[in-house]
Amino acid sequence: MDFARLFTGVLRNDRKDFDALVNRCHRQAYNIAYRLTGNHADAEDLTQETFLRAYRFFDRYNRDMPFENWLYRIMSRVFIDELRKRPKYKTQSLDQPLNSGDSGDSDVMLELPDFEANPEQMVLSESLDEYLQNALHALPEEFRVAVILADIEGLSYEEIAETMNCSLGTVRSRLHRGRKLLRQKVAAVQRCAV
Amino acid sequence: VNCRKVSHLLSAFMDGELSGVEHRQLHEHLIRCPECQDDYEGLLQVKRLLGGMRVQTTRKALPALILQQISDEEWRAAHQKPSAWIQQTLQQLKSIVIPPKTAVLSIGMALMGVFFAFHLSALSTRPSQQNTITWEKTPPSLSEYTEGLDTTGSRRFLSQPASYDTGAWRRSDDLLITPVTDVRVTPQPQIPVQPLSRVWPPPR
Repeated sequence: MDFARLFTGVLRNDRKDFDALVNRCHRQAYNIAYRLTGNHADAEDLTQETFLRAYRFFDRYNRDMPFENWLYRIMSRVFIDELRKRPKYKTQSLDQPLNSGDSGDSDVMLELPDFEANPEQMVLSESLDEYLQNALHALPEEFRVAVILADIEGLSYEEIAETMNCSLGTVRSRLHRGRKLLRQKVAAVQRCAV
Repeated sequence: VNCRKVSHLLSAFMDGELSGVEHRQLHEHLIRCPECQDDYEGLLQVKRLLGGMRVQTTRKALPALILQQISDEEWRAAHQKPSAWIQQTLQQLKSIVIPPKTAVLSIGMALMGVFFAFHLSALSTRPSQQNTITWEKTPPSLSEYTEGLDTTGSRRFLSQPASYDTGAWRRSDDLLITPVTDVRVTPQPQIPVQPLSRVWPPPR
């Protein structure tokens, strides 16, 4: 397709438009990518892959729709697809020492970060931010995408439904359940802080 | 409106995504029910916290990196071997799945169409070929003309050849008609012409 398009003038015009869009939208896209993935390296990968796919299918972009919304649609699809491709997490008993397979006995135990360990720090905005990010990360990915698009990006339910390719009812329930889960975690922090 | 229904609709209420009637009903319920009000406050807090999260900034090189990646891909697309392009196109074609029933039906229809088109064209051309016969006269060859001088003796001219009127006629279906060499005109009987009378009106 690209091979054929190269010889028409379309590609050159598209490229100009697209470069302008990358410059305009990359910050916003990166912020969402960071909230979805939870770290800078993955966020950068996700942003790059999203823009690359957007460019590949730029001729299908309906100009009546805001470009950002179209970009989020691609991003959420890339994000969910990539997450499904990755190997599933292994289950590990919390009480068993690590590397029990090779050396028989080892006294290195599995350590899990405890987000509620230092409630005093939660009042500092940076750690609250981190805490919220971790709470977001614990949500099922469909809930996470919906909550981020609604509360961080401020999209309407209709726009989210379009972005996630689902019905308004599904958006409503995903958002509600996602927020409820988040609320439980926030309430837990508050109980610790008091 | 009971508390259970309200708890399902709280999120949409908060986002202003309920219809007018539902919105009013929920609003009235929240004023009267402190438990639902607590739930609502909790959800609102989550929304505010998420909205207040810091915007994560990227390193400055990211847009350049993205554009570079796109340029690389463009280059690869332009320089890939034709065989790779054909393979790609074939793969794209493969991805278009046509249900077998539709495929068979459409191929059948196409064949029928070709069949009828062929016969219609045959019907429309054959009779016209049979009915039209064109005639052409072979012109006399140049050697049949004789050269001479006109009466003043100043101009040269080519005399009309003898075979000018009687050149061979050919039919388009190659049936040769023998040329008519001798044309005789039978003289028409003379009709006596009455001289015009000078007297007007003429006598009866």
